[in-house]
Amino acid sequence: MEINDALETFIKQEIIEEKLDNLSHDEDLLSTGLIDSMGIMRIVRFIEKRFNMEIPFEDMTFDNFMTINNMSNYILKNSLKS
Amino acid sequence: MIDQSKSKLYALTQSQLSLWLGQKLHPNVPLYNVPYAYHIHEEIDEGVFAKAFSDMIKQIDVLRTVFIENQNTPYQQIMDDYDYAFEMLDFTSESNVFPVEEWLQKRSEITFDFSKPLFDSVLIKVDSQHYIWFLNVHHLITDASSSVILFDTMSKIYGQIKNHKKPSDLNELFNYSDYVAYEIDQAKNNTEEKKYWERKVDLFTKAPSLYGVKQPLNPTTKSNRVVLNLDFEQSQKLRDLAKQSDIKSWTQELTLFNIFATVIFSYLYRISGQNNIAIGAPIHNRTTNKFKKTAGLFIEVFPLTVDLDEDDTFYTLLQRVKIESNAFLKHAVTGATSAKVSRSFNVIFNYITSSFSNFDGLETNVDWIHPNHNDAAHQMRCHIYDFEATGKIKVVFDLNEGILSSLVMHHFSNILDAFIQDIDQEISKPNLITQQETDAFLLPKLNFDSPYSSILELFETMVKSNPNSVALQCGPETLTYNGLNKKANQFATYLKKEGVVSENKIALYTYRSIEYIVGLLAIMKLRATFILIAADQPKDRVHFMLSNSGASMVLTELPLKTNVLNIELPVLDLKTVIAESSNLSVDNLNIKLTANSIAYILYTSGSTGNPKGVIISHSALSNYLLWAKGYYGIDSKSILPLFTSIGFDLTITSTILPLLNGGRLIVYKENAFGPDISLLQLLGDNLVNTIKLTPSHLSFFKGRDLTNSTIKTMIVGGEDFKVQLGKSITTAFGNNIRIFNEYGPTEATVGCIVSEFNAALHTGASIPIGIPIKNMHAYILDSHKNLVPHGVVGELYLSGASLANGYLDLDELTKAKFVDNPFVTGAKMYHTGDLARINEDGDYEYLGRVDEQIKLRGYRIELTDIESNLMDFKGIDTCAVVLVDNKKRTEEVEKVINCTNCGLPSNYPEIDFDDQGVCHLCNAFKNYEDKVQKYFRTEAELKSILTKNKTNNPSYDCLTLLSGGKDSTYILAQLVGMGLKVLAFTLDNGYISQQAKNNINRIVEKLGVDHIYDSTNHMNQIFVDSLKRHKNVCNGCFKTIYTLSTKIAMEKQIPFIVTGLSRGQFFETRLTEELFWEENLDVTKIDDTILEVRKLYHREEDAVKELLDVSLFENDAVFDKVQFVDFYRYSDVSLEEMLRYLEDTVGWIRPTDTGRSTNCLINQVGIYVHKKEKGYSNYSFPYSWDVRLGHKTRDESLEEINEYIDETEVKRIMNEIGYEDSDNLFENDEKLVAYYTAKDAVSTKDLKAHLLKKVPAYMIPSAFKHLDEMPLTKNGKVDKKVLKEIKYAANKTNDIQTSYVSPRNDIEELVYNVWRDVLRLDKISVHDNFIVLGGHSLAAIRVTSRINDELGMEIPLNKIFNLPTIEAYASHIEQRILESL
Repeated sequence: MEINDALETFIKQEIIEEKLDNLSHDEDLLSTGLIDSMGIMRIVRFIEKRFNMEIPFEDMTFDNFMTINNMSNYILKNSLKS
Repeated sequence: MIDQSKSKLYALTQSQLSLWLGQKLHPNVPLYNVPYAYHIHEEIDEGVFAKAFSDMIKQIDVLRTVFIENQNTPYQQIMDDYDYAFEMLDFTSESNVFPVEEWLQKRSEITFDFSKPLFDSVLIKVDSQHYIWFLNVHHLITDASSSVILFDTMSKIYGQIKNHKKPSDLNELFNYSDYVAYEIDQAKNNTEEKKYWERKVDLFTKAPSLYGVKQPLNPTTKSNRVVLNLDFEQSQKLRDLAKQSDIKSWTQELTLFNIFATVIFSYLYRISGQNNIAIGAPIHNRTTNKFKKTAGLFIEVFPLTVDLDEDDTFYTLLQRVKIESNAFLKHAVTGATSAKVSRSFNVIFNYITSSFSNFDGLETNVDWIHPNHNDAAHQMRCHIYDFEATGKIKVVFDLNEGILSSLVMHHFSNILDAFIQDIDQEISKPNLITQQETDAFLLPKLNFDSPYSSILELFETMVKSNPNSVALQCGPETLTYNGLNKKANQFATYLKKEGVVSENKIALYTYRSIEYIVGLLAIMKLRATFILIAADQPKDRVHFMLSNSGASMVLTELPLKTNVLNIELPVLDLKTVIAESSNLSVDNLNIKLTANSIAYILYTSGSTGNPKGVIISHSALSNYLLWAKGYYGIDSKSILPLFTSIGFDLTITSTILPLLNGGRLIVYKENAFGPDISLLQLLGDNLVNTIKLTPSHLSFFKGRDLTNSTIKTMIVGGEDFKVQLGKSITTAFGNNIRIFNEYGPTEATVGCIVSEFNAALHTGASIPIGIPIKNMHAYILDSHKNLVPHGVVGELYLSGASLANGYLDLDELTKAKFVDNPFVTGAKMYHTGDLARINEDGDYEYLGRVDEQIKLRGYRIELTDIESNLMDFKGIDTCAVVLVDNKKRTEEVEKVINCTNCGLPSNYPEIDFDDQGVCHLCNAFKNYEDKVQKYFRTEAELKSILTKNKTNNPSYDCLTLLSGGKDSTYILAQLVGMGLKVLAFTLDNGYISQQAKNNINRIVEKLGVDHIYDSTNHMNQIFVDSLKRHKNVCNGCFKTIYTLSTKIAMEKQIPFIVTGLSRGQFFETRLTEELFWEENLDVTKIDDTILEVRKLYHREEDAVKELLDVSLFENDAVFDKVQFVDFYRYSDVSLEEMLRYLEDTVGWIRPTDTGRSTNCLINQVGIYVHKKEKGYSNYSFPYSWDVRLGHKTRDESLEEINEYIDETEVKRIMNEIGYEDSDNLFENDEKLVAYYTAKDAVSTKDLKAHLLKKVPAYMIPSAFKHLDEMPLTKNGKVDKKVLKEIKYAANKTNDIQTSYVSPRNDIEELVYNVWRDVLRLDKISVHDNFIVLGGHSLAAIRVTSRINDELGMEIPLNKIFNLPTIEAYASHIEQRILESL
């Protein structure tokens, strides 16, 4: 759950700031307009740096980034791969 | 200095800077005004409104910001308060002369005073229920979101005041100045991304040419706006599409951005023909909640780029755009743009979702006014407004003048409709153009039904009306119309007797002569077909034409007759027939020609190697001739020469045209042998007034004084006709001449598109070919046979009365080239294979052959594009550019040979062999061989060096590098034998063979020495870097070894590292020829230099420096504490002796698992890459030195160099380490070569510099060759085949793309020459960086030594790294010289 927490902290502090107290890890961040494409790209850069991985542009999809859980699943799957 | 905190002075953001630059380029032009008219359809309290506005100024800092310049740097200054006199206008009374809309437009176009805040605002009362709030803000302080913020703030404050709320507790204050500080901070962190964009921009230097409109030197800022409102259904379809899972991106907004980008890319591809396109798109940059509420300029514009393919569908393109936009977003970080980046594209794409609400709850309509100006750099701006509220998407184009704005929206909307209709259709497929544009191609209508007029009857009418006028003249001989007609009738009667009937094919294989004309008329009079075969055709070709055409008879002349002796056809001599027919009837035969009768068959060159016969009917011939007669004004006074080849369809004009209107034809006969000097003769005779010829002929007229020439009309055809040439000819003829440019392939009868040259009007490189002649259509089509818009390049198709029937006996080819005309039912159209477009004047322009379009390294290049730009260079008369496949040629021509002494291969750069096949390095070596020997020492000396301080060494006496190979194993054993305490060091690079490792383990155990296996997990990156940098793996590996072993030696305080470099390798890595040039060789000095080089070596920028800890090399002390000793400098052991010793004493076993003589498995990857990219093995050079120094025989060296390389294994390892083989990219060593004629040869440097100004670097030819004469084909066109065959010496070029500056003074010239020699480059700019050019430490020695030698100076080695450009280095030299005076 370390990954989830790291993502939640980053998103809360850097992307949506104080807008939400509780950010569910299943919350759809994209369709709701909570995070726009520039914001999600900042998350991508954060993930790459924090988890020392490179996310191919092909993988930057709605499904991989819709929720915090989706993101952490993606991170887990792909950091294991490498 | 300005104290920023005190006076509230701020720097400008990157985006502001680029707008500042754009505004400076066009001062006093409202190109960045953002004016809005907010129509409020209810009553407004004017007093409250004014108060609210003044409160807003207090709250929003950009409304109090002014711009000032200090020492050429702009700053923004925020004033504490600004007392703005808010204006109110009343349009309710009749006193206002302008309608309000006109007033708004005018007011929107004002320019701002930068010493005051950059906005203008007025409240207009139109009537009691309609107010307009006009707000015009300069883009420097606003953007799309900012406009909404300003509107919302105003609305809020107005509401607060009106409802008597306390204004203090309502509004948080957000300042743009906070963003400025943030942006400047981010820009500092994001320099890598900034570089990323600048590099990207460099790769996309060519902005697409929109509708063929060239960017003028002083581009206009004037701009027009056109709007397209999508209906609800269209908008909804796009939104539905955006929800599809395979199309969907992160957000709906991003998906629609991608969709519109795809449509725009497709549209731009279609109107430019360019297949790599960059468009500028803004990113909003409001990354925090605070910034989302701050007014000001936040957006930054970056290029979104894509490569398009003809086969792309909208869907496949969209998938790529999706990936591209991710890359775009990832790198588009705050502060990463620059003026360079944001001005690099000519199209802007702006997707806007921020919308306005009602003003304080009052019904409001928003009108964004176009100030009629835009940044000149951005010719086309496309704004997509996607406001959810209305549900309808709006497309707005702002188009700089020159682009036909009325058509843009039609074309764009056709593409958008096609996208909505079927996303899987090819982007090149949908029709683009409007009916009006289609009509331009299809009007006037083709008239196939007009009664056929027989040219023969026309001639016979002339005979009746002008019986005694001279029709033909050849030297002293003349023939009147009557005489000619009689002779032709007699001739025809003779042929009839010989059995010739109508539709027979009669070959005319002859020189130009009176008899030829008589024969030609006679054949027509029999309604037979003539086959024209020029006298200079090779015999085999003549025989081919005769048999292929099915000719029933040959008419010829004496010397030619011998070529057609052994054929089964009757061969008649023209002169004999005339003589023998003199008693026959002189009356007309009155056989009527019909439209369908075949007039002639003319052979043109075919791609198969055999000529193909083009069949021309009498209706086609008469369509051309009757038109030409009228258009060129041929009458009884016209005198034309017959002086060009009869086998060339251009000659038909001269041959027949004068005889149709009572004019005269002067025949200039060619010599049976030797060159054709007819052109000279006819100029000398000065008799003709109308002439038909090619541009190549015209070149001959240039610079002559022809003011007294009788020629007044010129019809030029056959090839591209340059404006410059037209101008010179006009001058040569004292401006008293009409010049026509006639275009037409043989397949469309002589000429079918024509223009008259007009020096004032024709300013391009080539004279346009004009407009189609009567009864002819010329279509410009894309690959889907769609008509293209004006200005867009496409393939030219011809249709109409002049079209040939097809090719004789080549049904398939005929079907392929003469296709059904999709625009005119029942008609055919001919596919010319020529590229053309219609220019702004409505004239067709010829742009070369489709096959002139070549692909070089993925770039599509028009050779004519390069040629016409080269022609602009003063002094160049003619030129031609060809693509030469250099690799194929060198393989064919050059077989690699090896120096008979050392084995160095002939493809080693700059190598030179003497008569004995000995290379120049061997020969030069003879002169300093003695001195080199001085550098080498004895084993005794080595021992004394290593043992000198033996007792003081804390741990080991020395560290030795052990690779497990024979040389390093031998060293280890020897050192142990000397009684030294040795630490053996091995770098496990991941590719050491198992058997080599076994050797290592066994030996260290047997010798009882301590051993370290060191490694790094960056090894693969180091290999890849080394392969890219040095085309081998060894350099990277060696450097890693030196770095890691030095570190260990430092830690353990080991004073020496012993290397196993061979003597040959010294010359690869440490020594150069130049070191031995000095008269009295001082070996200490060489050692000092080597040490200097070693320091530089460790400080070079490469993967090792980047990835390993190299901090210990920052301090010079390390080089004293750990010294390098090259064992083989002191030992001269022979190979046999070494192997014997290893076998007997040490138990070393030669590894067999590498399949080679090495112990390293990756080594062959280096050899493979080196051989592939440079043509020879990286071992060739060091081994040649081993041979030269007597450490190897030539045979041993060659055997090792030519060892088998397992390509499958090489590819596997490449894949493993992540090296991308340049297989597909540069396999073909193709080069562009330009040939030109000029009075004197021009320097390549100047030509390149000239072209660099006009075309992208990839279009610059690698070589420029001066020719005395341009080779021409029989038809007077440039013979590119011959040019391609010209033996062309391979020229080394570099790919450095910085703007080129040649040396400007003697010292720069000197440095330049030395660099060129040492770096082996063709062209270096004085601003090029030594390191970037590939200069390494060894090259530094060579450059420094040579310059010191030439100038008698002592410039230290490191200067070249401190002053790495020719400019800087030369100015340092200058300084030194001045100081020494």
